Amino acid sequence: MLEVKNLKVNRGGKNILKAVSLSIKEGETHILMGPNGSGKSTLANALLGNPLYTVAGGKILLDKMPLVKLSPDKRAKLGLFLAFQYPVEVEGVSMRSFLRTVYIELKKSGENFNKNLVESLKLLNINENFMGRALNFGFSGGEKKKSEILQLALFSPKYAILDETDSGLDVASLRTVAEGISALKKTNPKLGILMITHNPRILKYLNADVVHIMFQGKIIKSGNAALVKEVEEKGYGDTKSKLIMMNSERIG
Amino acid sequence: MPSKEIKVNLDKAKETAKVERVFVGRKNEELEIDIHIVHNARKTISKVLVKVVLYDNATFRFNGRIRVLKKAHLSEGSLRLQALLIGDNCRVFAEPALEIENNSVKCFHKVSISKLNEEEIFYLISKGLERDSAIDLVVQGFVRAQP
Amino acid sequence: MENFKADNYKYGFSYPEKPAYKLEKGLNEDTVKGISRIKNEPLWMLSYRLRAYKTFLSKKLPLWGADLSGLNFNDLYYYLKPSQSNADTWQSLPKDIKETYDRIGIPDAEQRYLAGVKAQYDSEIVYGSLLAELKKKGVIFLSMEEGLRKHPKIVREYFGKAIPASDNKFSALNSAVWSGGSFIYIPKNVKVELPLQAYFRINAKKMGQFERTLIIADEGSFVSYIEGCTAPIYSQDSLHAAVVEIFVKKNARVRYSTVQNWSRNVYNLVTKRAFVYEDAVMEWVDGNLGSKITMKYPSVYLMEKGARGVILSMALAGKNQFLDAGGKAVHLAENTSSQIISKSISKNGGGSNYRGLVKVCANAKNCKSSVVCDGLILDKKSYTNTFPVMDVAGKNAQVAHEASVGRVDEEQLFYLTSRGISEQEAVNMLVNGFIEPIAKEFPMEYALELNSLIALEMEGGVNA
Repeated sequence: MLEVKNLKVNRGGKNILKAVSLSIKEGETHILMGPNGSGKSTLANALLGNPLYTVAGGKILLDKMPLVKLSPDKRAKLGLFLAFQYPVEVEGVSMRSFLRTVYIELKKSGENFNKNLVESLKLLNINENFMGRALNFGFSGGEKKKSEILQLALFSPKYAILDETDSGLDVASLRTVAEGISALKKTNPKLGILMITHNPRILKYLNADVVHIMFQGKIIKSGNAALVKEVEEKGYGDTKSKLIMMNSERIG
Repeated sequence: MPSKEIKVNLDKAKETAKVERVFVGRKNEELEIDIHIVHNARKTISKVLVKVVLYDNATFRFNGRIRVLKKAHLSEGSLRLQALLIGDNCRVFAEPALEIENNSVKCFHKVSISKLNEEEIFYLISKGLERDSAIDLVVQGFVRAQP
Repeated sequence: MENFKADNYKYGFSYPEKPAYKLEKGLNEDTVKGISRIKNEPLWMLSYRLRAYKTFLSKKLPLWGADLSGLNFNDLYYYLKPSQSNADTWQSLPKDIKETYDRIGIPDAEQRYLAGVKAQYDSEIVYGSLLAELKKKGVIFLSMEEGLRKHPKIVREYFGKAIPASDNKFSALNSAVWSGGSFIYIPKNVKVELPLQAYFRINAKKMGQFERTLIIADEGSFVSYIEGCTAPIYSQDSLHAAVVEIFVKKNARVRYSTVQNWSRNVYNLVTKRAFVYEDAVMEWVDGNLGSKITMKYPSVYLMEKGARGVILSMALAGKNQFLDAGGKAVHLAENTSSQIISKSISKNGGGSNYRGLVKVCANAKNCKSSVVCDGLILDKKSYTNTFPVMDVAGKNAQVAHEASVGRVDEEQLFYLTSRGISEQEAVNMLVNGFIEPIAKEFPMEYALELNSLIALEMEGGVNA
């Protein structure tokens, strides 16, 4: 289980996440939605320990292991993975050598690397000659997203956080990525997913167990997949007014 | 008379310096400038942009230096020199230097020395402009363009 | 230690088989004469050396670049036969050198270390057939001494023409006391596909202090030459002042790759220059890892139209190291092009600089040049400087120059660590990625060794 308990996160002295809590059981798919600036990416980055963010309070536990004091690489080794919203480009480091280095680091052996790589490339409809290119360098937005999911497929983490993996993709790419994630879930039913999305298109392909709405650094509502429809129809407006009401009730 | 030497010392945290100069040289003019920026406090920022257009036999000498000292954590310095050589006998002599003692900073310099883009000129002439007017237009664009 | 006495001479020497001896420390006219005599040189070379010696005395140390005040010219040996030198036995190598070999996992390290010394035996067997092939095509690949002896006319025509003794104090020194180095001549239209390596040359000895190399690639030919070794080379001699002159004739192409990893007591002051003729191409690939101080600026002089020069340089400076490297491109004719890429890394208090020149002369029309010099500073103690100079006069010139200095990018670091790579390992990857444009130009085994050597350096290495 991936547990986040009352997590408070700051960036540059400013408080962004107020007290976020959620729990993802193994095999569950959670969706996190919310308007721009609500703190979704902050949560994703803080979970992996991005040094730009400071945890000011609360806990993160992966299968009972506390993560807050651990460096990002140790968290990854415990089975946590983040598909970045804007994957950084690293010139001079080839895709293949990067993937291989990480694979060996995580699995302790290079056995089956090639086999798994070929399978993953096929699954995501990625051309082999990508492997000779520098890491994300000169990749289009869609190619970068695919590169993240390729890594998800290859590294088989326990919990994956997908930060707006669906945004900026054309219809065909979205389908490939979504189907890729579905397939991964099938082969590894224990994979827990936290999918951060700005719009619910991808849910045509994936089943959500729990949906959370984030607003101004807090999760203001959690529910089942029906919540998505509500947002689709009414936007965040209704939820926002609900929040205001909730707050005033507490004060009063 | 514009000074031939610009020295900026950024001694207070978060100080910013911006230097922008445009030089146009004609006939046998010899233009020159020394720009020397020293970052000596944290988070200081410097931005230097020098544009030069040279006609005929004009020459331009540029000595630019960004120095970032040990105390200047997280500072940023940039120096851009763009020279457009139109005359047949122009000359540019440029020495942009970076002296960096702090590793948390980001500094760069970019120099480009180029001739007129004949395709651009042709395009304008084909619309009815005379060559000199076309060149004037291109030069205006060059000077105005933001990096 | 035996003193070299004029009397010994009447019993005659035959080079190279003589018991080891050293000339006295220090440099004077007698030393120069002695060196020339030992090598049985023609009179013109002796005169050349003596004139160069006088020039050496009259020239001053450069005021820029590294601090060379630690050099004591009188405290050095200027000629040493290596067969008895201590560093020939594995056991007597300094501990840190041996450890480095172990750490970077060079198989049969001892074997390979000594290869430079044993090469004359091994190479005849292993490379005998290769060299026989080349010989048939008219390729000449000899030591500089043999070249002078067997092909005096060619040598005389080119020796000192690209780099005269008067060029700088160290080219003057080299011109006076040079010993060793390669002489290579490639005939017209002959393309030598396999790279020629310095230590497989028959009669090659361990790399000397004052090597003199002369390469002439005749019209339409191609040759690639590799000098040096990624593995650290211990040198008792603290001053290395080599001179490399290359003539690339019309339509020919030469690639000269060097990796130097001299021990940390060495002053490495090298002058390298290529004259590039019509439509010819010269490529310098330069890797600098070792030495206490290096000053090296491979140059291309683009003499005739269509000539092209490429200089790829990398330097990794660690504790107590100062590497001042870069390149010079001088455009003397129209339609010539040059490209310089320099990557320097400083760590642990080391300093690595870029120093370069792009000059486009007034009569050189339509020339293009592009320079990229990047510096990576890995910690608080280290520093880097870039000192480029652009002197552009030719009509229609297009010259671009970009330099950037900074640290390892935080975003990139987080991305890699978020995948499970330790911070140390991630920095390694990024450093390797930083120099990749240069590393990939080395032959495969050098590139691989370069990577592990850098990883070792990064770790804190044995020299840290």
